[in-house]
Amino acid sequence: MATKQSEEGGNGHGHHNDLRETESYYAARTKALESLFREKKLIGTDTVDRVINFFDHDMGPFNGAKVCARAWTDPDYKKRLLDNANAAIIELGLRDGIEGENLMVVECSPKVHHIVVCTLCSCWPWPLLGLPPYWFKDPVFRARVVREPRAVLKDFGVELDPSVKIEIWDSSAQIRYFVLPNRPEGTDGWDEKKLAALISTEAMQGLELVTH
Amino acid sequence: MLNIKKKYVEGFEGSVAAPPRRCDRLTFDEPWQSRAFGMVLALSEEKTFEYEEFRQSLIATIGDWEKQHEIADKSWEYYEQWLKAFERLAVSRGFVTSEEVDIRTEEFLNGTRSESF
Repeated sequence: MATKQSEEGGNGHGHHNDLRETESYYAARTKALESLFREKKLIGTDTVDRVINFFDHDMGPFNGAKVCARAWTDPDYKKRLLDNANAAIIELGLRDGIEGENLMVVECSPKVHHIVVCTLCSCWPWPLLGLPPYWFKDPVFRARVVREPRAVLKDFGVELDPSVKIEIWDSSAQIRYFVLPNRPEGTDGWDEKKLAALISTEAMQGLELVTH
Repeated sequence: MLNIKKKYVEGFEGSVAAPPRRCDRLTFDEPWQSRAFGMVLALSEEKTFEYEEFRQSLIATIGDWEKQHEIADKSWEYYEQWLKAFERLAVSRGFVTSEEVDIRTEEFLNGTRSESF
Protein backbone atom coordinates (compact mmCIF):
# COMPACT_ATOMS: atom_id res chain seq x y z
CA MET A 1 0.00 0.00 0.00
CA ALA A 2 1.21 3.49 -0.84
CA THR A 3 1.79 6.05 1.87
CA LYS A 4 -1.23 8.07 2.64
CA GLN A 5 -2.40 10.96 4.66
CA SER A 6 -5.57 11.12 6.57
CA GLU A 7 -7.88 14.07 6.40
CA GLU A 8 -9.97 13.92 9.45
CA GLY A 9 -12.25 16.89 9.16
CA GLY A 10 -12.77 18.88 12.30
CA ASN A 11 -12.15 16.35 15.00
CA GLY A 12 -9.11 18.09 16.36
CA HIS A 13 -6.51 15.45 15.62
CA GLY A 14 -4.76 17.28 12.81
CA HIS A 15 -2.85 15.42 10.17
CA HIS A 16 -1.17 12.11 10.67
CA ASN A 17 1.52 11.72 8.09
CA ASP A 18 2.96 8.59 9.54
CA LEU A 19 1.31 5.52 8.10
CA ARG A 20 1.28 3.58 11.35
CA GLU A 21 -0.26 6.51 13.18
CA THR A 22 -2.95 6.91 10.53
CA GLU A 23 -3.87 3.27 10.79
CA SER A 24 -4.20 3.40 14.52
CA TYR A 25 -6.40 6.49 14.25
CA TYR A 26 -8.88 4.70 11.99
CA ALA A 27 -8.64 1.55 14.06
CA ALA A 28 -9.44 3.57 17.18
CA ARG A 29 -12.34 5.34 15.51
CA THR A 30 -13.76 2.01 14.34
CA LYS A 31 -13.42 0.63 17.86
CA ALA A 32 -15.05 3.74 19.28
CA LEU A 33 -18.07 3.24 17.04
CA GLU A 34 -18.37 -0.45 17.80
CA SER A 35 -17.93 0.20 21.51
CA LEU A 36 -20.71 2.83 21.48
CA PHE A 37 -23.06 0.67 19.45
CA ARG A 38 -22.54 -2.21 21.87
CA GLU A 39 -22.99 0.00 24.90
CA LYS A 40 -26.27 1.30 23.47
CA LYS A 41 -27.34 -2.27 22.71
CA LEU A 42 -27.66 -1.41 19.03
CA ILE A 43 -25.47 -4.33 18.02
CA GLY A 44 -25.04 -7.81 19.47
CA THR A 45 -21.66 -8.92 20.77
CA ASP A 46 -21.09 -11.59 18.15
CA THR A 47 -23.01 -10.10 15.24
CA VAL A 48 -20.05 -8.49 13.53
CA ASP A 49 -18.01 -11.67 13.81
CA ARG A 50 -20.86 -13.66 12.35
CA VAL A 51 -21.14 -11.33 9.37
CA ILE A 52 -17.41 -11.31 8.67
CA ASN A 53 -17.30 -15.06 8.96
CA PHE A 54 -20.15 -15.43 6.53
CA PHE A 55 -18.41 -13.27 3.94
CA ASP A 56 -15.14 -15.08 4.43
CA HIS A 57 -16.54 -18.55 4.02
CA ASP A 58 -19.84 -18.49 2.21
CA MET A 59 -19.52 -15.70 -0.29
CA GLY A 60 -16.83 -15.47 -2.85
CA PRO A 61 -16.05 -15.66 -6.54
CA PHE A 62 -16.38 -19.45 -6.31
CA ASN A 63 -20.16 -18.89 -6.21
CA GLY A 64 -20.17 -16.85 -9.39
CA ALA A 65 -17.89 -19.34 -11.10
CA LYS A 66 -20.27 -22.15 -10.21
CA VAL A 67 -23.16 -20.23 -11.78
CA CYS A 68 -21.19 -19.56 -15.00
CA ALA A 69 -20.03 -23.15 -15.32
CA ARG A 70 -23.59 -24.39 -14.92
CA ALA A 71 -24.80 -21.93 -17.55
CA TRP A 72 -22.10 -23.11 -19.96
CA THR A 73 -23.05 -26.75 -19.58
CA ASP A 74 -26.84 -26.50 -19.24
CA PRO A 75 -28.63 -24.36 -21.88
CA ASP A 76 -31.92 -24.47 -19.99
CA TYR A 77 -30.24 -23.24 -16.86
CA LYS A 78 -28.61 -20.47 -18.85
CA LYS A 79 -31.98 -19.35 -20.13
CA ARG A 80 -33.39 -19.25 -16.60
CA LEU A 81 -30.31 -17.37 -15.43
CA LEU A 82 -30.69 -14.71 -18.10
CA ASP A 83 -34.43 -14.47 -17.40
CA ASN A 84 -34.28 -14.25 -13.65
CA ALA A 85 -30.83 -14.38 -12.14
CA ASN A 86 -31.95 -14.28 -8.52
CA ALA A 87 -34.17 -17.31 -8.92
CA ALA A 88 -31.48 -19.20 -10.85
CA ILE A 89 -28.95 -18.52 -8.11
CA ILE A 90 -31.24 -19.76 -5.37
CA GLU A 91 -31.76 -22.85 -7.50
CA LEU A 92 -28.07 -23.67 -7.01
CA GLY A 93 -28.44 -23.34 -3.27
CA LEU A 94 -26.77 -19.94 -3.18
CA ARG A 95 -28.22 -17.14 -1.21
CA ASP A 96 -29.00 -13.71 -2.59
CA GLY A 97 -29.65 -11.30 0.27
CA ILE A 98 -27.81 -8.15 1.05
CA GLU A 99 -26.37 -6.41 -1.98
CA GLY A 100 -27.44 -9.29 -4.13
CA GLU A 101 -30.89 -7.95 -4.85
CA ASN A 102 -31.87 -7.65 -8.49
CA LEU A 103 -29.00 -9.34 -10.15
CA MET A 104 -28.88 -9.21 -13.91
CA VAL A 105 -26.63 -11.43 -15.96
CA VAL A 106 -25.27 -10.12 -19.25
CA GLU A 107 -23.93 -12.74 -21.62
CA CYS A 108 -20.82 -12.15 -23.69
CA SER A 109 -20.73 -13.38 -27.26
CA PRO A 110 -18.01 -13.37 -29.92
CA LYS A 111 -19.47 -10.05 -31.13
CA VAL A 112 -20.28 -8.26 -27.87
CA HIS A 113 -18.19 -7.87 -24.76
CA HIS A 114 -19.67 -6.65 -21.48
CA ILE A 115 -17.96 -4.73 -18.69
CA VAL A 116 -19.51 -3.86 -15.32
CA VAL A 117 -18.71 -0.77 -13.31
CA CYS A 118 -20.43 1.25 -10.62
CA THR A 119 -19.82 4.89 -11.38
CA LEU A 120 -21.57 6.11 -8.24
CA CYS A 121 -19.95 4.07 -5.53
CA SER A 122 -19.11 0.40 -5.61
CA CYS A 123 -22.24 -1.68 -6.05
CA TRP A 124 -21.18 -5.22 -6.47
CA PRO A 125 -22.91 -8.62 -6.55
CA TRP A 126 -21.52 -9.77 -3.21
CA PRO A 127 -23.22 -13.14 -2.93
CA LEU A 128 -21.69 -14.19 -6.24
CA LEU A 129 -18.31 -12.54 -6.03
CA GLY A 130 -17.60 -11.92 -2.35
CA LEU A 131 -16.03 -8.63 -1.42
CA PRO A 132 -15.12 -6.28 -4.24
CA PRO A 133 -11.45 -6.21 -5.20
CA TYR A 134 -9.48 -3.01 -4.88
CA TRP A 135 -9.60 -2.01 -8.53
CA PHE A 136 -13.39 -1.98 -8.66
CA LYS A 137 -13.58 0.61 -5.91
CA ASP A 138 -10.83 2.85 -7.26
CA PRO A 139 -12.03 6.26 -8.49
CA VAL A 140 -9.60 6.22 -11.43
CA PHE A 141 -10.85 2.86 -12.61
CA ARG A 142 -14.48 3.84 -12.20
CA ALA A 143 -14.03 6.97 -14.27
CA ARG A 144 -11.69 5.59 -16.88
CA VAL A 145 -13.48 2.38 -17.76
CA VAL A 146 -16.40 4.44 -18.99
CA ARG A 147 -14.25 6.81 -21.04
CA GLU A 148 -11.77 4.41 -22.55
CA PRO A 149 -12.80 0.81 -21.95
CA ARG A 150 -10.39 -0.60 -24.51
CA ALA A 151 -7.41 1.04 -22.86
CA VAL A 152 -8.51 -0.24 -19.46
CA LEU A 153 -8.99 -3.73 -20.88
CA LYS A 154 -5.48 -3.56 -22.26
CA ASP A 155 -4.17 -2.76 -18.79
CA PHE A 156 -5.89 -5.92 -17.63
CA GLY A 157 -4.20 -7.82 -20.44
CA VAL A 158 -7.22 -8.10 -22.70
CA GLU A 159 -7.09 -7.06 -26.33
CA LEU A 160 -10.34 -7.41 -28.16
CA ASP A 161 -10.73 -7.43 -31.89
CA PRO A 162 -11.82 -3.91 -32.97
CA SER A 163 -15.00 -5.43 -34.41
CA VAL A 164 -16.14 -6.59 -30.96
CA LYS A 165 -18.63 -4.16 -29.50
CA ILE A 166 -18.13 -3.19 -25.86
CA GLU A 167 -21.08 -2.52 -23.61
CA ILE A 168 -20.66 -0.90 -20.21
CA TRP A 169 -23.16 -1.72 -17.48
CA ASP A 170 -23.47 0.65 -14.59
CA SER A 171 -24.43 -1.23 -11.44
CA SER A 172 -26.64 0.55 -8.96
CA ALA A 173 -28.76 -0.21 -5.92
CA GLN A 174 -31.51 -1.24 -8.30
CA ILE A 175 -29.52 -3.63 -10.49
CA ARG A 176 -26.21 -5.38 -9.95
CA TYR A 177 -24.77 -6.67 -13.18
CA PHE A 178 -22.79 -9.80 -13.59
CA VAL A 179 -20.98 -10.99 -16.72
CA LEU A 180 -21.33 -14.47 -18.14
CA PRO A 181 -18.06 -14.75 -20.09
CA ASN A 182 -17.49 -16.71 -23.27
CA ARG A 183 -16.69 -20.35 -22.70
CA PRO A 184 -13.14 -20.95 -23.88
CA GLU A 185 -12.54 -23.12 -26.91
CA GLY A 186 -11.28 -26.62 -26.40
CA THR A 187 -13.24 -27.30 -23.23
CA ASP A 188 -15.82 -29.63 -24.73
CA GLY A 189 -16.78 -32.37 -22.36
CA TRP A 190 -15.31 -30.64 -19.30
CA ASP A 191 -17.37 -30.94 -16.17
CA GLU A 192 -18.66 -27.97 -14.21
CA LYS A 193 -16.03 -28.16 -11.54
CA LYS A 194 -13.18 -28.09 -14.00
CA LEU A 195 -14.78 -25.23 -15.91
CA ALA A 196 -15.50 -23.22 -12.76
CA ALA A 197 -11.83 -23.31 -11.82
CA LEU A 198 -11.01 -21.30 -14.96
CA ILE A 199 -13.28 -18.39 -14.10
CA SER A 200 -11.92 -15.37 -12.24
CA THR A 201 -13.63 -12.45 -10.53
CA GLU A 202 -12.29 -10.21 -13.29
CA ALA A 203 -13.84 -12.41 -15.98
CA MET A 204 -17.22 -12.10 -14.27
CA GLN A 205 -16.92 -8.33 -14.42
CA GLY A 206 -15.72 -8.33 -18.02
CA LEU A 207 -12.09 -7.48 -17.41
CA GLU A 208 -10.59 -10.78 -18.36
CA LEU A 209 -11.29 -13.47 -20.92
CA VAL A 210 -11.57 -17.03 -19.71
CA THR A 211 -8.78 -19.16 -21.09
CA HIS A 212 -7.21 -22.46 -20.28
CA MET B 1 -28.13 0.40 -22.13
CA LEU B 2 -25.81 3.01 -20.78
CA ASN B 3 -26.78 4.56 -17.53
CA ILE B 4 -23.76 6.73 -17.02
CA LYS B 5 -24.02 9.80 -14.91
CA LYS B 6 -22.49 12.29 -17.33
CA LYS B 7 -22.05 14.96 -14.74
CA TYR B 8 -20.21 12.65 -12.44
CA VAL B 9 -17.87 11.38 -15.09
CA GLU B 10 -17.03 14.70 -16.73
CA GLY B 11 -15.00 15.83 -13.74
CA PHE B 12 -12.41 13.18 -14.54
CA GLU B 13 -11.83 14.14 -18.16
CA GLY B 14 -8.19 14.58 -19.00
CA SER B 15 -6.95 12.42 -16.18
CA VAL B 16 -4.12 10.28 -17.48
CA ALA B 17 -3.60 8.22 -14.37
CA ALA B 18 -3.77 4.53 -15.04
CA PRO B 19 -6.03 2.31 -12.98
CA PRO B 20 -4.33 0.14 -10.43
CA ARG B 21 -3.31 -3.36 -11.36
CA ARG B 22 -5.34 -6.22 -10.19
CA CYS B 23 -4.64 -7.06 -6.64
CA ASP B 24 -4.73 -10.44 -5.09
CA ARG B 25 -7.94 -11.42 -3.40
CA LEU B 26 -6.95 -9.95 -0.06
CA THR B 27 -10.00 -8.04 0.81
CA PHE B 28 -8.92 -6.03 3.83
CA ASP B 29 -5.57 -4.41 4.34
CA GLU B 30 -6.04 -3.94 8.06
CA PRO B 31 -8.24 -5.58 10.68
CA TRP B 32 -10.23 -2.42 11.46
CA GLN B 33 -11.47 -2.39 7.88
CA SER B 34 -13.18 -5.71 8.31
CA ARG B 35 -14.73 -4.53 11.60
CA ALA B 36 -16.06 -1.37 9.92
CA PHE B 37 -17.39 -3.45 7.06
CA GLY B 38 -18.94 -6.04 9.35
CA MET B 39 -20.64 -3.43 11.52
CA VAL B 40 -22.45 -1.86 8.60
CA LEU B 41 -23.64 -5.21 7.30
CA ALA B 42 -24.63 -6.44 10.73
CA LEU B 43 -26.68 -3.30 11.40
CA SER B 44 -28.30 -3.58 7.97
CA GLU B 45 -29.17 -7.22 8.58
CA GLU B 46 -30.70 -6.29 11.91
CA LYS B 47 -32.59 -3.46 10.20
CA THR B 48 -31.13 -0.85 12.52
CA PHE B 49 -30.87 1.03 9.27
CA GLU B 50 -31.54 0.09 5.68
CA TYR B 51 -28.53 -0.80 3.58
CA GLU B 52 -29.77 1.74 1.04
CA GLU B 53 -29.37 4.52 3.63
CA PHE B 54 -25.78 3.51 4.06
CA ARG B 55 -25.25 3.32 0.33
CA GLN B 56 -26.51 6.88 -0.07
CA SER B 57 -24.20 8.00 2.70
CA LEU B 58 -21.29 6.24 0.98
CA ILE B 59 -22.08 7.89 -2.34
CA ALA B 60 -22.20 11.31 -0.67
CA THR B 61 -18.98 10.67 1.26
CA ILE B 62 -17.08 9.47 -1.80
CA GLY B 63 -18.52 12.39 -3.75
CA ASP B 64 -17.11 14.80 -1.15
CA TRP B 65 -13.71 13.12 -1.33
CA GLU B 66 -13.69 13.41 -5.09
CA LYS B 67 -14.51 17.12 -4.92
CA GLN B 68 -11.64 17.74 -2.54
CA HIS B 69 -8.98 15.57 -4.14
CA GLU B 70 -7.32 14.88 -7.42
CA ILE B 71 -8.69 11.68 -8.83
CA ALA B 72 -5.37 9.85 -8.58
CA ASP B 73 -4.62 11.13 -5.06
CA LYS B 74 -2.74 8.41 -3.25
CA SER B 75 -4.54 9.13 -0.01
CA TRP B 76 -7.60 7.32 -1.41
CA GLU B 77 -8.51 4.49 0.90
CA TYR B 78 -11.85 2.90 0.34
CA TYR B 79 -12.53 1.79 3.89
CA GLU B 80 -11.77 5.24 5.27
CA GLN B 81 -14.66 6.45 3.13
CA TRP B 82 -16.70 3.50 4.33
CA LEU B 83 -16.04 4.35 7.96
CA LYS B 84 -16.83 8.03 7.42
CA ALA B 85 -20.04 7.13 5.62
CA PHE B 86 -21.03 4.86 8.50
CA GLU B 87 -20.26 7.51 11.11
CA ARG B 88 -22.12 10.13 9.09
CA LEU B 89 -25.19 7.92 8.96
CA ALA B 90 -24.92 6.94 12.63
CA VAL B 91 -24.78 10.61 13.64
CA SER B 92 -27.55 11.74 11.30
CA ARG B 93 -29.80 8.97 12.59
CA GLY B 94 -29.04 9.97 16.15
CA PHE B 95 -27.44 6.65 17.20
CA VAL B 96 -24.29 8.41 18.34
CA THR B 97 -23.01 11.97 18.49
CA SER B 98 -19.75 13.12 16.91
CA GLU B 99 -18.60 14.25 20.35
CA GLU B 100 -19.10 10.77 21.79
CA VAL B 101 -17.16 9.22 18.94
CA ASP B 102 -14.37 11.80 19.26
CA ILE B 103 -14.06 11.25 23.00
CA ARG B 104 -14.08 7.48 22.74
CA THR B 105 -11.61 7.49 19.86
CA GLU B 106 -9.29 9.61 21.97
CA GLU B 107 -9.67 7.17 24.87
CA PHE B 108 -8.63 4.29 22.65
CA LEU B 109 -5.76 6.28 21.21
CA ASN B 110 -4.34 7.39 24.55
CA GLY B 111 -4.89 4.02 26.16
CA THR B 112 -7.37 5.10 28.85
CA ARG B 113 -9.86 2.65 27.39
CA SER B 114 -9.11 -0.81 26.20
CA GLU B 115 -11.65 -3.17 24.77
CA SER B 116 -10.94 -5.68 22.14
CA PHE B 117 -13.40 -7.04 19.67
